[in-house]
Amino acid sequence: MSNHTPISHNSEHNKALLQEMLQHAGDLIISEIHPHKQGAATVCYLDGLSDPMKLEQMLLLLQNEEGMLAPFRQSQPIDTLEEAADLIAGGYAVLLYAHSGSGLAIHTLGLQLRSVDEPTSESVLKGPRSGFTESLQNNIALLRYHFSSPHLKVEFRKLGTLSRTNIAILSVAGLTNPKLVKELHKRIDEIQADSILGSNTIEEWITDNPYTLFPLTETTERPDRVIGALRDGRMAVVVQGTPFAILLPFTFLQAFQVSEDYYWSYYVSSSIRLLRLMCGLLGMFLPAFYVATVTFHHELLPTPLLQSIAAAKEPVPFPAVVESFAMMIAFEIMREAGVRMPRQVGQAVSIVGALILGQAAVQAGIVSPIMVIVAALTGICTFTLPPTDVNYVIRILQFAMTLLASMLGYVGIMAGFIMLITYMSSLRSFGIPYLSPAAPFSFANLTDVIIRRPHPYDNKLPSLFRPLVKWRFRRQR
Amino acid sequence: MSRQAGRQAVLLKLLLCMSLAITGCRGNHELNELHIVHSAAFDVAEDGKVFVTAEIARLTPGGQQPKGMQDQTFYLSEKGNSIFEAGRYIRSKSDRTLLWGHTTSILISSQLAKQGLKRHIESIRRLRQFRNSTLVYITEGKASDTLRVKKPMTTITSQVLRGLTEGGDNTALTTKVTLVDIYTGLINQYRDLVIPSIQVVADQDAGQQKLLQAQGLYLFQGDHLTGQLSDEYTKGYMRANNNMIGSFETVACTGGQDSMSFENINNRAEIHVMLDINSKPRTQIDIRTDLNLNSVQCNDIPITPATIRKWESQLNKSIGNEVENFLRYTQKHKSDVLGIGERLHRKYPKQWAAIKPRWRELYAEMEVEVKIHSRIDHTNFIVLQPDSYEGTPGL
Repeated sequence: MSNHTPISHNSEHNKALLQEMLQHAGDLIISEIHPHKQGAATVCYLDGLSDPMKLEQMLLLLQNEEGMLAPFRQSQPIDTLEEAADLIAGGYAVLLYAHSGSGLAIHTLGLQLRSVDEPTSESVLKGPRSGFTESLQNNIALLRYHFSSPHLKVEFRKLGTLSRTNIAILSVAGLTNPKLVKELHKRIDEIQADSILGSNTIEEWITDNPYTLFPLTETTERPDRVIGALRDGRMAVVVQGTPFAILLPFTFLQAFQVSEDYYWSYYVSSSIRLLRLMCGLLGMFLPAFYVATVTFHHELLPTPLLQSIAAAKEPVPFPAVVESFAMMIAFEIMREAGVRMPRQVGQAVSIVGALILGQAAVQAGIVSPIMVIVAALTGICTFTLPPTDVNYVIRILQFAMTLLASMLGYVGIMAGFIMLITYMSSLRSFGIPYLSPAAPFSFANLTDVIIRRPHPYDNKLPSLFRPLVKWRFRRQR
Repeated sequence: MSRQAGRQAVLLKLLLCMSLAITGCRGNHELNELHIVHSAAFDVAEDGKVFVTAEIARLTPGGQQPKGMQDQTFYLSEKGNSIFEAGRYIRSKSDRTLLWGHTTSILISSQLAKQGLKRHIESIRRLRQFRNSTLVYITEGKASDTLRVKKPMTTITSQVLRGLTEGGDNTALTTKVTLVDIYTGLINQYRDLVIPSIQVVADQDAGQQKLLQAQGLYLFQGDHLTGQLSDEYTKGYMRANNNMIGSFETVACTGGQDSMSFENINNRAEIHVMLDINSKPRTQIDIRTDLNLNSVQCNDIPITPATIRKWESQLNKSIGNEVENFLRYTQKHKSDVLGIGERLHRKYPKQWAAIKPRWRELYAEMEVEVKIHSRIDHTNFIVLQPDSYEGTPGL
């Protein structure tokens, strides 16, 4: 929309042009009103996108005290018809004054949207239960409600040449490193996408390395998680139309943290965090270890255990690696089906899954019961991690590790692990090393990643994200 | 990066990945291509070759719950010039590869042990198939017969043997000797070997059935079997060698057939060696031992500090005899199982060169002094004897 058509003095002309610009939309309502002697005004808005209450109020004000209109409502004067069309599509009501050749856009957006709900993907036992919705305004309001600080800096942008999606960039003034904020703005400027489909479009555009398997940003549905990130000197991007906010920079070990950690006592949280770390490792390596042990390193098992495994594996016609791949793929299929299927058929699928894949497969001698245990434990382990992409990455890598283990045994697993660590340490998220604080090593930061410090002693900001201040508070001695 | 450099980097990565394939880490075996060997027996065949018998797990096929270590076993045996050769011959009778790595126990016939262990142990060590923690036993008769004894309790011999060895912690009648003990014994030559003995005995209840029993030790001189330690000598060895964990002692009552039994709960031995002016070695063994009173059959003995002191001196005497008899026996067989020679070596490194060639003779003539310091810790709170209840009304 490069050309600028000034608002004409002929209202009919304006109407015709607007109709054309908005593709003669059926839900476009244009009507003439005569609030004053001064002349007519043309009201244009999209039916359904505008709240009738707000419209009514607007018209009432327009009739009685027009002066009140401008400061009261979120409104902005407009000069061109293109601008008017843009704003109408965004849910504004536009008043065009033909006599003065000027216009006014008034925010009347009112849409039936989901109310604030408990986030389904990140449920907690203890802690706030509100989650984001699809409305950007609501989400920002929610954040402000949880974090009512004047330092919260919210910058709105419009992205997508076609979709014109609103996004908000959140940071904390005086805390977040301005260089990071600048870099984020720069990267967002470079987005050339015509439309923004949810937050992932933005994530993929602004990531440091678009081809990497590992996520370099994370998303969350929880306002408290966003707040937690902001107070650590990180930034958030909230996108209109999706309940998922992007948090960045993101380091790998953060995939093992959940917001609930901060709501339980620190002993509980620390042990659960360690458990989650262990589960992450198990999720990645358990099938590989099983395959390597039963095909290469039989000596490593205690004799009674080997005897049991061997007896269980006696009727199985497949090599351990085929068996494990079959079970892991079956598990992935079940998981995907569980996400995708309608809730009504859920029970049927879970019964079929448990009976066919568990019991019947063992009884038929297709897989050994030990393999079922390994596959199930591996699958369950990955579910302990918060639902970031890391979760899926671990699932993908477990296949690679199992393959390596089946070819080279423990040497293969070690080779895979070394390659993985080497690769991961070469990654960066907004300039922050991906494996930090483990590599480069920082004990002070690590203590709040692996375990959780008690809140009264958690007075130091993680230097990881280069915040402007060092201390959250000074401890009174 | 230029295109050339990029291609080189990719090539380098590819080469690195391919180098993994030449690490030699092949040799994978699926579990159902393997037979798990639980124990092995080494005998002398008629023609002087070594006769190897393997006890192999017969796994119950699936559909049922795995039986673990209660499963059945079968035996394969073959002779060969060496253990390795015999093992390969066994493979020609077996439908699957044998996994020797899980062998829990090795039985060696005394006949083979008399010929010398070194060459067989050497081949076992070189093979690297057996775990260092594999238990070793010597059998009186043919080792393979012992292995094939039908056991009433557990079907797998290795399980029986391991259980019997653990019993040594309570009885001090047997001890645990593993392959690595034999390796170090034969290589370092710090001390002569002892290897526990396994006997086949008739089950007194069932008559027909036979049982395995672990009692006593075999004494070695170098790698040759020279003698057998009886129960009493075995206890003496366990005391003097400081590896007694628990045991029992019995002392006769004065003037009668009744006796008192003590549970031995602790035993510490200190061996002091010295050379006198004539370069003659002398050894003093101090043993401190703690006992609990467990059974008193003697009549009319009130348990007082005085009686306890009396019993202690009785115990000192009987334990002292036990240890002295054991030492005399080893001196007779010139087998330095306590490693006294090595103690002398460490204490008198300069004189040792002169002693070393004559050591076995010197050991046989060596003067040994055994001092026992026993202490009765507990009487389990019972100080009166049943007989004395009667005459004391009100109790």
